Amino acid sequence: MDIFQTMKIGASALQAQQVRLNTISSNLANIDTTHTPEGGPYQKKDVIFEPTTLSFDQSLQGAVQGVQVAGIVPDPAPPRLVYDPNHPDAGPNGYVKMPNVNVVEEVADMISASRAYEANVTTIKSATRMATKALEI
Amino acid sequence: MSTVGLFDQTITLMQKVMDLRLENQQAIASNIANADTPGYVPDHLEFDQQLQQALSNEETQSTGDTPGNPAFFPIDGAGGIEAVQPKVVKDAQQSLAGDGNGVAVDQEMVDLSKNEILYEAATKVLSKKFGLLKYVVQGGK
Amino acid sequence: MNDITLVNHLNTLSSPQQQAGSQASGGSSFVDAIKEAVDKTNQEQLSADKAAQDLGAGKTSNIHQVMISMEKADISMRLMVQMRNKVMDAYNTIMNMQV
Repeated sequence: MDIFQTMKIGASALQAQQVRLNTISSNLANIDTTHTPEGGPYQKKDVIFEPTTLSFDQSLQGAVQGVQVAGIVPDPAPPRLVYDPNHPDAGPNGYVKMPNVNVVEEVADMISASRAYEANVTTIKSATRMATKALEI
Repeated sequence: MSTVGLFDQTITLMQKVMDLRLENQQAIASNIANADTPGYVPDHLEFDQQLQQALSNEETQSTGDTPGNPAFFPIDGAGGIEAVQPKVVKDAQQSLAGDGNGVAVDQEMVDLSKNEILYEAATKVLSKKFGLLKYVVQGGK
Repeated sequence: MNDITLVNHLNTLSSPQQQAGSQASGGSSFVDAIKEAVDKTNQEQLSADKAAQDLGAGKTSNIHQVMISMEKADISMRLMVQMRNKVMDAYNTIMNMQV
């Protein structure tokens, strides 16, 4: 039973949200990438979070859980088709396959990730304040 | 001369409260960290009822020459305050979010602040009590 | 002769202590009560020391527990010292009495 555990939980979330932000960043940067080394347009990447047990405290019965990135998976949504026969990557029917990245979604996601990041920074700061106050007993 | 009588029920209670609030902070931090995790059900710790119960138990136990004056009877807290354990309660309410995540971050943030303030309040109470004891022991100097 | 009188005198003085001391220790002499107090204080010092060592060496991170132990040890020690002072004062008062 440990104040530093609280900080570790917050830190795990900071890390996870950072990965999420990086992924969003990568999606936005590649919003117009029509061909990749694997062939085909850039596929939007999604981050999957899962809870992780940092320590098993008997009295808390496993209620103490941080978060970690379970994986970064490509989004299965189909690519956007844009009609542009003069584009070098145009298909036989003149349609170009553009990445399935939606700017509005990505920006909303980015705001959500930033907010989550801030909330966890608050957690860590709060834990630090509690520990400092305990020293003043 | 036993020092058990020096440190009264309030001090035992504050100590227990600090332990409990520390665990609560961890539970709330877990909920905040997992605010975006699909399918996560938040946990809350409850211990207010148990503490109040333990306090009223200790008062009824201390009927002696001076009924209802627990501070004068050095009661071993084994059955009372020191035995209070937090109860882990999972949120029963169905989550409104599409991914099954049930965390209400704003509520959790409020709980976080409240918990921290109450922890620090316990700290303050303890330091005041110890300060007072030291003053008394040194004969008012 | 003086010593015997002194011990008797102290014993008489300590009999009101018997009722107060007996609830805690059942000891019938002042010396026993003091001894028990010293032992208890020592125990508290040792456990406070152990808690501080555990915190320092990273064995435990329960900060408030350590601080509370240290404060309790501090207060008992101060009480102990005050008791000692009072006993010394009483002894000196008796020694300085013109017999």
